[in-house]
Amino acid sequence: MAIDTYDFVIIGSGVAGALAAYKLSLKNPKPTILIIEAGENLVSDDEVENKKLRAEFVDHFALAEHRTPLSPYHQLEGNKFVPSPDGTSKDDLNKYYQIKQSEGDSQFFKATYQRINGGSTWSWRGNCPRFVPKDFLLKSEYLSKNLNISSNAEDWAITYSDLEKHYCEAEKELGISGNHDEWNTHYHGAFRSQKFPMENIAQSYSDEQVKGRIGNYLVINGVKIKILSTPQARNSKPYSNDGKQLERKACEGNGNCIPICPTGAKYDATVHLKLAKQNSVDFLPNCVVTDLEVDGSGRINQVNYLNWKSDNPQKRLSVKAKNVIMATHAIETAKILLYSGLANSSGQLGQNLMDHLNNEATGLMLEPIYTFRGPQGTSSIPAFCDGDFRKEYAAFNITFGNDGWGRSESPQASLAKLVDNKIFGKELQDQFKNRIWRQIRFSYSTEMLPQTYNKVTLGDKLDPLGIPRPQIAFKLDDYSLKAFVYAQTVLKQILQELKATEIKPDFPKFPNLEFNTAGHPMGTCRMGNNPAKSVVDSFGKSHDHPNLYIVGSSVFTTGATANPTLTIAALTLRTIDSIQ
Amino acid sequence: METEENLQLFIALSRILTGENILDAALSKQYFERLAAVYPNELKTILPQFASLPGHDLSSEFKANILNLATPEVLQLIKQIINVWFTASFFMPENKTSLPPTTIEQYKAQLMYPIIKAPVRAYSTLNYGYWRNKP
Repeated sequence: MAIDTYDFVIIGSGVAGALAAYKLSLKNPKPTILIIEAGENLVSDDEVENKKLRAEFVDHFALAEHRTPLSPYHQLEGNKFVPSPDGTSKDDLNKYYQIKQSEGDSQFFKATYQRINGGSTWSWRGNCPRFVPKDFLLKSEYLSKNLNISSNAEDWAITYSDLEKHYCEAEKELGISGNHDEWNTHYHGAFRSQKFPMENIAQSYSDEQVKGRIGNYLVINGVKIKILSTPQARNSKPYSNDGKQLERKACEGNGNCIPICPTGAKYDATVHLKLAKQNSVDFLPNCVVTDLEVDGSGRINQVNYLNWKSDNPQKRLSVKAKNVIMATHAIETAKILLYSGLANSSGQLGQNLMDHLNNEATGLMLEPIYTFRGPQGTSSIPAFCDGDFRKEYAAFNITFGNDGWGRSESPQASLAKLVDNKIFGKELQDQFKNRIWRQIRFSYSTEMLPQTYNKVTLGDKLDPLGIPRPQIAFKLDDYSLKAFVYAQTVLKQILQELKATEIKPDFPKFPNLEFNTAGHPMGTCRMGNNPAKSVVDSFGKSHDHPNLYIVGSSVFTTGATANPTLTIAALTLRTIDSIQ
Repeated sequence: METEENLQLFIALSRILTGENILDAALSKQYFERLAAVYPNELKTILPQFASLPGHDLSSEFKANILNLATPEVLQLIKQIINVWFTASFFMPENKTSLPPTTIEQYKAQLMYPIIKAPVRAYSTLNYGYWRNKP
């Protein structure tokens, strides 16, 4: 590195880190900036090479024996040194996390994420709803009115209005396709001061069929079921976020949004990483930050790291920094700060870990709706993202799946059922398509409350570089579980209204539920005005260290129901705006 | 086992099982070799049986004389033949030898996608918005 002391050292190159670097690089005078990234996925500034690389990732995914969020990237050398949590079983996830669990308790944290250039935007669906106004006021609006609810929740230090202009900016940066009128009118008071940069992604034929059947009249327990097009970081036309760079293509409906868009029509954070590098931001991949050091006044002055590609990966290296921005989301940020023994005067560091619990409901329509055509999802029912019921149980979001029955029954499983019945030939083709074409699926995701017992701590086992692995304690509370059951009853009613058969789950169960988590780790470094109860202030600045900023989902005070990426981007833009 | 005659029988059997009249020659050879490595005995059973069918109405004759009388092992082979053509995937039975991975050409040639009139996952050749309309 040519620079002895950087104005800003940013740790992590996911959406928060890359966007922060790019926006800082536009400031006048331009600061010196370094991004340190633990992984390396070989993405370069050469678009021809990147296209080949993306095609290789897609091929790896297609041929993977077990397709997981990280399947496209299993061949990367960095996995040996900076493993990422992957898979769905406890054994899979335990290869990186240490899962702390009470005996007999089947609940465990299932989130995966990626430690490569661009972070987990290499395995995201791209859905980008905003939070709604009352998401920022969950405690005062709802929880405080029910003394039976036990949580560690606080209101956010900011309101929806404080963040609205940053939401607009984030939508331009990421390139969100959405329908302004729908989301300005039907989303729980989440007003929009600007239109989306692109019109919404066309809704699928199957979604339109559902809209036609229930979209205008169905009311469940007083809640009108309104079907909206999902805002997505996926291009509905060729798009460039700054109007100057190479345009990314419009979506071609590959049905492979997770884990990897074959064309780049879906945003990933290498878009901003590239822009940052073009603006003279230095980039240091394959370097794993171990800890930060402070001077006598409590200012961070040094970032220590290991370079796993060097001759001696165990050799401790360091860089001086005037300011440090942590952008390694809820698990790694907490881990690094805990290992450094910093930023924890509140005792809240690592606590309040949240995700979105999700599962799916399925049915078989009477008529073909023609699944497996287009992006994996184009529509949502956000009717339950807010409401008075949040005094009793969690909000939840509902999205449509365009890919048949998803995890509930793969096409291979549908085929096997028919073959087991000795059906073959043309009859097999007819029955197969008749079943696949009629499969309808909804996913639902519930919010979680921040709890002190859901947390990241340092494990007693070490990763391949000798750094303590994150230990995760995770347990579900009744607030979320009740919502989970309620979501199932709502979807059962919707499926019955659609006259679907083979509805699952047929009998919502409590409390031993099958659930997945969405891979949206949040909390652990939460934002707040009270330094005794939070890790960072309303701009993401550490209460304890005046030159330490945290961006990303770790600063979320509560988790709401929205996929977190757009809010991560908006909060990052707000943090960077606050830095003079 | 892997003679030209047996390969042609395998292709003819695959046509009956999948309902597809035209099956790619290169893929046929690959799938035949793949299955023969794991199900040699079952293929030795089913291919001569298939060859001996009169051929007036192959589907009906296959059902009556082979499918309805098949052992569980032969049924498993039949299931695998259909599965490999429809999905390009091959579920390894326990205690059998390992097989080479599926190729991208095989992945793209899965029959299930043209049958349901959808682009092959991750390899769409269609343009923005095609999904608005029914196929």
